[in-house]
Amino acid sequence: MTTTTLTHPVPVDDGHGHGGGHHEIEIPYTLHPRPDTGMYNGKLGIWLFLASEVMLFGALFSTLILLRTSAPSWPHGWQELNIPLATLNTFILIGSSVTVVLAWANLRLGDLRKGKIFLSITLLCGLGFMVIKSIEYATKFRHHHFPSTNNFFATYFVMTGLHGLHVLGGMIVFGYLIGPGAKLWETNRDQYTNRVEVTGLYWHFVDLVWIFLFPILYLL
Amino acid sequence: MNEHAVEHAIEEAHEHFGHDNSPEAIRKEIRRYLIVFAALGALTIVTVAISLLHLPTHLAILLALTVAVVKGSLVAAFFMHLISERKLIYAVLLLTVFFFGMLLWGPWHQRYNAQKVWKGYDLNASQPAPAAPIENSGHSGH
Repeated sequence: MTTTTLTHPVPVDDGHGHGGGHHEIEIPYTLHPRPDTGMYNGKLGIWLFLASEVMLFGALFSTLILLRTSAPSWPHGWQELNIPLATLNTFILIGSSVTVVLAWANLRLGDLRKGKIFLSITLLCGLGFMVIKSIEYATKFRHHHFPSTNNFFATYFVMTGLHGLHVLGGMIVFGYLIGPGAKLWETNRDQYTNRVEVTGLYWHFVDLVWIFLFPILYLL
Repeated sequence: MNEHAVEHAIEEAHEHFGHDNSPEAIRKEIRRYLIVFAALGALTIVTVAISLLHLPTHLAILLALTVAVVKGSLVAAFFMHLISERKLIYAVLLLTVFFFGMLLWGPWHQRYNAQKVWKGYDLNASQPAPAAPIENSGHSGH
């Protein structure tokens, strides 16, 4: 069994009413697959989290479909929104998905420098996406288009806003992995590589949501 | 499970579902990622091109969603490695797809049901029509 030992001892109750004894807690299966699930725990954890995310975005997609099909008229996305900027953002997110898997592949090859370069490009892509999104939002606000304007803009701002928050969340984790989190490479390369893999899975999901948001909101 | 069985299960998991970490295999993977990236880029152009045709709404939705499903499948299959994943992940995703379907179907079902129970309900109106007067069943309140 492969385990990771916490570096700081954690106080635990010794079972005799004398709390405060110091023992080290071992976290199992952070590196190699558990025999019963066939994967390390982090991977199963991220997939369960992504399943809950599908339900979160699914509720919003369901709402959009109901609102749109119930409305006597609904503006076309291409009439109201900026297609060239959204297309550019699509390419940026797809590109960032590739750089994450390239980072992971290079870490598996033992090349931390290249791995960090690709993670940095991913982070920059996320930043680029957010800058473009903020330009889009600013233009909408200048034209007095707010979530309260109508159902079209309400769904547009809620769905792209929630997606943007997910991009921001991913950027924070990538920032950690490039910066202080990279110290783990010196002590446990495999665990660092696994962390990049599960963060990558999350990032691909964020890309996947955008792949559906783009045509539904902007192009139809 | 005894120690030998655990070791065997881990080896099996590596062999069938783990990632081959040999440099050749990883370089092959990288080439595959770049091909998928090119395909995703091309399909994005196709999606935008379809929207420029201003097709009838139903056809436009069908084509746009078809391309989106193909793109999503490429991301899920190759970037998220679902093409060679453990059965447990497939089971989790199957359950997710079922509940996602329920999320879409549930409100729709209620909406069509409303037409039956609420006379005068117009599916295509943004505001529901005034409720029909409740028929007097002859029972007076007590």
